[in-house]
Amino acid sequence: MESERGKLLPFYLVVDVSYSMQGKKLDAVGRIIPTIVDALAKAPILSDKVRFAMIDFADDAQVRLPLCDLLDEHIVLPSLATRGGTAFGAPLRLLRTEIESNIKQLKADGFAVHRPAVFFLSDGEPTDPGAWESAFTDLTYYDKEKRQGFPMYPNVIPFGVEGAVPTTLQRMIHPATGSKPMRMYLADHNQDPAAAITTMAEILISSILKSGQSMAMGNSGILLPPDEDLPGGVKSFGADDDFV
Amino acid sequence: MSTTVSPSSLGRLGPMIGKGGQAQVYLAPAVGFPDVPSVVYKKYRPGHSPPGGLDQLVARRLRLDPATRARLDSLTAWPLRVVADDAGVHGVLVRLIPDSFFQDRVLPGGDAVRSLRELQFLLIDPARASRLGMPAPTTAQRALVCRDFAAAVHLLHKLDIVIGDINPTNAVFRLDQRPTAMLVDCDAVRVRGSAAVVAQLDMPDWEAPERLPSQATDLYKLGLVVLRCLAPGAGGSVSRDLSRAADVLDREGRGLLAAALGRDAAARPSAQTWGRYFDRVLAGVSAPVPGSTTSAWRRGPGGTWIEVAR
Ligand SMILES: Nc1ncnc2c1ncn2[C@@H]1O[C@H](COP(=O)(O)OP(=O)(O)O)[C@@H](O)[C@H]1O
Repeated sequence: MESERGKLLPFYLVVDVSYSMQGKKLDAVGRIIPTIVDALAKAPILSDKVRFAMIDFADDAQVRLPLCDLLDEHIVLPSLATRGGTAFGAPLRLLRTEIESNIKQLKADGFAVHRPAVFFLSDGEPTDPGAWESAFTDLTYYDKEKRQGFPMYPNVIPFGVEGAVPTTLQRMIHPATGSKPMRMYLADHNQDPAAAITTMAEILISSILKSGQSMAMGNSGILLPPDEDLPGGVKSFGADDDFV
Repeated sequence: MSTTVSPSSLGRLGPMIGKGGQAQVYLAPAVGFPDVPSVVYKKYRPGHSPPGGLDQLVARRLRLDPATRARLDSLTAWPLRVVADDAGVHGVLVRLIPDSFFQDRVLPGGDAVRSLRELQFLLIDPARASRLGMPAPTTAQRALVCRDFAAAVHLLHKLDIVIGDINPTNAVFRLDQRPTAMLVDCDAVRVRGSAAVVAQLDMPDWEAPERLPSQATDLYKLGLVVLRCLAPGAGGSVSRDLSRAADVLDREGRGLLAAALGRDAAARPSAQTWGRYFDRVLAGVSAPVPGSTTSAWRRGPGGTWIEVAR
């Protein structure tokens, strides 16, 4: 066993709080973490396996819940408010520094760490075209042979509701190819966006449970639920899928 | 006696009372057996019905003498009948897990729920367990649960069964009446010498050093159950560090645990050895029960628990 304290999988939930999220959508986003807490309360040994953080973004990005064990007694769950545009670059840059320092800390505390997973939820088109792409590359590019880029790059799973542009979010699936490609989740067109966000929370939880129950020492990491288990109202897409 | 019943013979099903990755569980109020009056129908999800071999588990139970069968039924939720028709296996009938293994509690988000008291709640920090609305048992109560868990393993091993997937969601415990444990997910077990009924997907933190499931790997995992139940806390569900239990086990217990978690499969203590060990320890230890801090428990000659005034 690599570490007597075990191997943790950090989840980062990144949520759009631009003005278009105002209302029922934001309420649904606010319920995501409490729902995850209840899921963990039913499977509390997962706290030996997973950690959570939440970042919100509009024109800027803020860590609203630093990486933590959600069952810890002293956690204060954040309250959310909308504030501005949809600059994708801001949370992507913040993720890179957070991930780097969080992983260092976990290792210093004696844990081994799986590759982090980022769930990125948005309802809009980025307001910083041309800028977010380079932030995304800085976060996800890594050349193992040349040792260039960010070795702790996360798996990225975009979630799109109402107004999100599928072809943009699709570019954020990471890795897009290879032996364990990630996927993106999109709400159906006719789906109530608040309900879609709740559904996406279910997908996130099912990924947490699946990953936590099967994380082998050394390999594996995040698992997404199989498509046949997806709740209604949301579909999953790979990096090469077309949209009809 | 037939091991199989048809889906149509189940009559009207009651409400769905649970669902897992593999099955949905319904009350089956129209079904009942003289020795097991309350029964649930565990209906496999499409594509999740086991490849075969459930019949053998059912037959094994039906052949037992009544006393052994009653004991099997008290320590496990053993498959009572296979539910199948020409189209194949649809599910199994198992006994309804008694109320005493469920806990009414309120989740952090405020919802009131009724939860199975899975062994996993014994592995976490007791203060956290209380915060989550679950009991935080004393060491003696934990030892009682381990004792009966060992008894269940011993019975199954005597019946030539390999349990295979021992993990903290497959067993439940109670602390009132008499503290005990019950193995609830038995359709993954197999009769020694035959293939597993349900493909076994071990939880990685519960893997034994040898890959192939056997009674010896069961005994390794029993050792993990003992270690992790007796030394709860952060990291408790993944740790294999014997020193965590150093404070709560005596010299003999520490020796048994070291052998149980060793690579030498033949040297692992049998479930019976563990059971006898806990009997001896518990005879001398006070096990506070609700409303009492002055009683201890020990096994009487017939296997019953006797409360010992101290
Ligand atoms: N014999 C039973 N009596 C009462 N409830 C049960 C019984 N078996 C299962 N359940 C309920 O159904 C849920 C799912 O059952 P489980 O055996 O875990 O399914 P799976 O094998 O698909 O994981 C359990 O969490 C429990 O709440």
